Amino acid sequence: MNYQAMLAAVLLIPLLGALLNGFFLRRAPRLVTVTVGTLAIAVPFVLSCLLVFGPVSAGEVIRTELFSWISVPFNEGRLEVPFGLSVDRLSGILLLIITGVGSLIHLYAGEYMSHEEGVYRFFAYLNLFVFSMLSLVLGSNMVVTFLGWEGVGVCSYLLIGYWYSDEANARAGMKAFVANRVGDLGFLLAMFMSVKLFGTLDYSRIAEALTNELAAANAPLLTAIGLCLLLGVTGKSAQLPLYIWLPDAMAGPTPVSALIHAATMVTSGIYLMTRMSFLLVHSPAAMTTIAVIGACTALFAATIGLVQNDIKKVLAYSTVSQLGFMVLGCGVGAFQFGVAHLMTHAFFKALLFLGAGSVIHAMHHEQDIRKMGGLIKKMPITGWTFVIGTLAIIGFPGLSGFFSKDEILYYAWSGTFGHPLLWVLGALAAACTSFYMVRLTYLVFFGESRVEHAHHHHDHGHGHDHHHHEIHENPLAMTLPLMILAVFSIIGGYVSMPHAIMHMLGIHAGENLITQWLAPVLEKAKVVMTAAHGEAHGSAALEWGLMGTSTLVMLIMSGFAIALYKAGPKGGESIAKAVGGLYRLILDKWRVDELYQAVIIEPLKKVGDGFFKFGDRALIEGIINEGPRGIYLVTSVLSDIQSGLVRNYLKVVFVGILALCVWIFI
Amino acid sequence: MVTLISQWILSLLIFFPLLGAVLVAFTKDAQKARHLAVAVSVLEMIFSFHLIAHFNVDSSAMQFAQDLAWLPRGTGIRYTVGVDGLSLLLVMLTTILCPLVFLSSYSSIGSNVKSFLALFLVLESAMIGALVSLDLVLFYVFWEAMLIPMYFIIGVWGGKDRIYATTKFFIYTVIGSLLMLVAFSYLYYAHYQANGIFTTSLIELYKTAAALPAGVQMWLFAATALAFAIKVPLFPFHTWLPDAHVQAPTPGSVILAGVLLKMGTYGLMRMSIPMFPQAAHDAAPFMIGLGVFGIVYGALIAWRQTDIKKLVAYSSVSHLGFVVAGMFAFNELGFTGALYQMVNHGVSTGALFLLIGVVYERRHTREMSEYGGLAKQMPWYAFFFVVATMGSVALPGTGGFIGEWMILTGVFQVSPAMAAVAGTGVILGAIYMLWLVLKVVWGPLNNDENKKLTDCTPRETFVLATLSVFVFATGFLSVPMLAHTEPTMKKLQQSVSKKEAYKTELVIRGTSDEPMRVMMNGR
Amino acid sequence: MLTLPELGLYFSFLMFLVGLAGVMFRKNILFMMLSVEILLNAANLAFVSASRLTNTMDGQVVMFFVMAVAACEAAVGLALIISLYRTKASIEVDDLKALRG
Repeated sequence: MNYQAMLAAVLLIPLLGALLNGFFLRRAPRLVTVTVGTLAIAVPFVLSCLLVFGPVSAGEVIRTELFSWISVPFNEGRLEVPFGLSVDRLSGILLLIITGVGSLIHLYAGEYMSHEEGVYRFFAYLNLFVFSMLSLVLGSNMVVTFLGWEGVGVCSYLLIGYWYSDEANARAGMKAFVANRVGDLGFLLAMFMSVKLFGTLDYSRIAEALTNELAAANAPLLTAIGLCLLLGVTGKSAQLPLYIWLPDAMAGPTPVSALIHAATMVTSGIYLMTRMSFLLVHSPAAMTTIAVIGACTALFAATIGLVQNDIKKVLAYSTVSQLGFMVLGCGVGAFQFGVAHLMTHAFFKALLFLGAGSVIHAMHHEQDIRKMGGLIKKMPITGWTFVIGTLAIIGFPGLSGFFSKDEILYYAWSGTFGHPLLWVLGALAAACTSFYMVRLTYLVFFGESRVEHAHHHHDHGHGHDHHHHEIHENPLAMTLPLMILAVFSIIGGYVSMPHAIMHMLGIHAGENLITQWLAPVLEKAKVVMTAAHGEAHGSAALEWGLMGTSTLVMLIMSGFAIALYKAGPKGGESIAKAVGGLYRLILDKWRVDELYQAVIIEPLKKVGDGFFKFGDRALIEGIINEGPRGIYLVTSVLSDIQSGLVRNYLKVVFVGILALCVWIFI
Repeated sequence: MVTLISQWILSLLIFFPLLGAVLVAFTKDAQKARHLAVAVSVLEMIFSFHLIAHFNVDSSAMQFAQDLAWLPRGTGIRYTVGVDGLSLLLVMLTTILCPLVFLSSYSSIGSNVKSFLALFLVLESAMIGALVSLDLVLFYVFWEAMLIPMYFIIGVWGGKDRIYATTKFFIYTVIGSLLMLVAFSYLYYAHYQANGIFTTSLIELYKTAAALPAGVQMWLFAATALAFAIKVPLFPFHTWLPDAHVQAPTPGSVILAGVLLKMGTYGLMRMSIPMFPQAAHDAAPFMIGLGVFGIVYGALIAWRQTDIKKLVAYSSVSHLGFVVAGMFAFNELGFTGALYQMVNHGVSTGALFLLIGVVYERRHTREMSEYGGLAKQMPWYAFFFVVATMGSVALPGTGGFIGEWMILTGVFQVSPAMAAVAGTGVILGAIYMLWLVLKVVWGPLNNDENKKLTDCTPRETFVLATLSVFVFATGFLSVPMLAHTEPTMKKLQQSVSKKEAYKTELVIRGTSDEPMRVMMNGR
Repeated sequence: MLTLPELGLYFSFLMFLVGLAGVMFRKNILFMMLSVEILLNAANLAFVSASRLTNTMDGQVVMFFVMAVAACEAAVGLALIISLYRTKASIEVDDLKALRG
């Protein structure tokens, strides 16, 4: 089997799985559905491993074209858009994450959804999602990427609204799709500009076409492309100002949150920026905007996370915040660490979501952390893996999040487009992260149990008839993915070990693993950045200093959180009372949704109504109806003469004859 | 044999449905008449595959042409028909959509079945005639002939306010087409003054028209473009459409959205733009502006509708704004995208109207608030609904994406600002279409009436599944489909951008020794 | 002193005025029909008188034609009135205004 065919198979097997589950296995037993769904991801995972650890790690780029998708004459030449796939080292990483984490989550979902009817629909959507996500990262041109880009949006729409009987879920899905569409417009515009500037949409051709002269001559256009791409990123990767859909997206089943809204779909913005890094770095303005958006999102979302009481909402805002870190990393020019954080985040956030799902499953869809507590005794595997995930995300030294996050923070200060202020924002966000994650973990797994045994919630209206009260650990199909992800959450970060630590450990490989791995992808960007701005201006002392500071802050905030919530969820009330209004504001998520509703949606609705009432009905219909009415008024005077009475006509005839006589005889 | 067929195929396509109409009218049993109508339209579809099979992909000429004497010699009015890349796809769309429409009429039309079917077959014949005729008078005859069956279809089988709607539709269209007739007459005499002979041959008049002074061109362009803009309908001439759609019976709505509206955009691309290139250039910013404004305008209004059919009708205004904007960008991307988008809009909006018909037949209401939660009761229906929606919002992988992408890319080359504004239509499209899906398909199944609904019958499933396949097929097979149109689009683009007369020729496949005789413009 | 034919002409003029007034001012269709008959007879009288004045037979021939036509007209007209009365239950001309613009 040659590599091209393997690449095509990686993409098409999940699609096949989706078709099988969606159309042909509707009546099949649950086991068949789950097996087909999981295998449709696991087989591509094996193939991906063969590809990535084989030719791709040797530096090859595997390309294949499935068919010609769009081909139009254009400016004397042709605009060719083949359905082309390519896998290089960047898409290789993503490929492994998507199929690897994806397989684990499919396995988990088979058990998680075991009480559901018609689960074929769920697995069809999930497989379709993986297909879309793979075409996003494997596409060799922007249009194929865009297919995946919108495809994941649709799958996310369908999966968020999976329990459609509750209109709130369907609304959340719609909100996600529309917010994504706003971002997609940015992507579309970036595509149009690329067509105009380069005459092609193939990434490698664009990279070839983009010479320094061309860049210098078209600096404003490049900035515009960068900003449009950023708009796309803010939509898909849930950044300010379009992040609002992600917290609502938690209405979907928890495995969906883990796969789509933590590990894969939301990170596609980071992938896109890294893919287009050679272009973005030509525009300092765009890079700075990206960095600022990332840093602000990281802090903004973290503040909301501080006070949420829904286990999934906390994780959702945490995801937005972490995505902010990744965007910040890309924005300051440290694309490789954005990707590194993407990877570690995929491990630990998927772990956290699956852990949360495990808790929710065991608690029969209770999601309020104030009603949990002390669960670690009843669910030891879930509990301890969750603790590992928390330690990883808050950057406990030695775990994956520590390495990737600290590298981003270091470059936020010292990177090509870095600035100490960006570091301050990032560090504050990290401090908040430590607080809310420790608060979450502590309230759920430690302390006194606050579980109510009186009644069970059936939020999602899918009845499961067994009402056994005992909370207990979930079966292996759910805990095995947790354990595997926990292992990766611990070791995943070593690929991006900081220089300072490498020196201390006596590793003299020059660069850390991720930098080496992504060097071919980021080569062009690096050349441009070095030429324009010189080498990055960091030092070992600075690195140690920043690392020490953030570790210290993390320890203080974690300790503070434990101290505060030792006695249960009421611990935070004193602070909440002290800052009163601010607390309410943050609890209401800064009322951004309300702001958008009032400033964008309602006015647009009014405009729509106005167009209909005044434009269509009053103005156009007015002219259409009133114009003839004017003519009718004139003619109705004349038509009165025609009374329909013969004698009246005769009178006129008589008068006429008289007049004729007078005219003839006189 | 093949040559003989190729020679007569277009006349066959035009007159076969007419024959079918006569047969249907003389059938005794309504159910038999339905079967017969389906059979006729399926045969028609099979005949039309001959076009695809024997179309010369490398030529922009008028193929399968036929040029016969019709009216007395001195008038220069002849029966001239032919197909090129522009009309081919639309002819295929028509012949493929019609059998599906006839299938849908089994349940949606209960009274005067025979007259309905006969009128519909007359309509099909007129539509194909208008698409393939290359003589202005012949075109005009078919153009008006389309109007009459549609007038009755809405007026007899329509909803509550059908008379108002159909009268409005008729008057709107007739006002436009009379102006077009004036323009045609002017051209007729202008050609006589220039060349000393009368002719209504489109191919000849391309040359005459393009040679006219810019001021005259502008007036003639305005007259024809108005006729076509009303048919499209382009903002601000669209107000007949929501009424007509809302009142029309399901098959009427489907064919109205699927084919009749395309006659307007087809006319712009066949007549207004290549005939008056100078005027088209002068008017392009204005036309793009109208198109783009229509996109936003139609979308915002669609969002605020509570009547499902009205919503989809306004979405048509929005979608066809894309088409008009695309063709006035005057590059291959724009032209090709516009043509492709016509086909896609026919498929996805046709599917949407069929879907509305399915529930309307069961519930007899089009109010969005009456529905909700249908996914639980009608899972396949929900599936088709979502597919049609995705086609309508131009999701990559559906044909709508290819069309809109080409159009927007094309417009962007000319005016980035316009493309950006048009791009917001992509967002608004998602808003109103998903709003519709949210209100109809998702949500709780609260209304007791809806709990009695049954899922699609096999007949409905067949029709909807066919269209769903087309939604995706157009999304991935654009290259083989558009290969047929490329030479024509290229030629159109070249002649328009150079402001030259559009040159084409009739290719008549003769029965003589030579396999193919190219008849040049003169006759 | 007037001769008989001249007297006939003047009388026919007066008869015509009476008939015209009847058609113009009566509202009952039956009387309008009768008035039309008077008009026709006025014309007949004028024809006969003119024929006597000029000493030709043309006028008298035309009179016979007119009488024949008048007979037909009366038959058709009465039939129409009867069917009108059946449908509208009225032969008042004011009720028949379908031609009103």
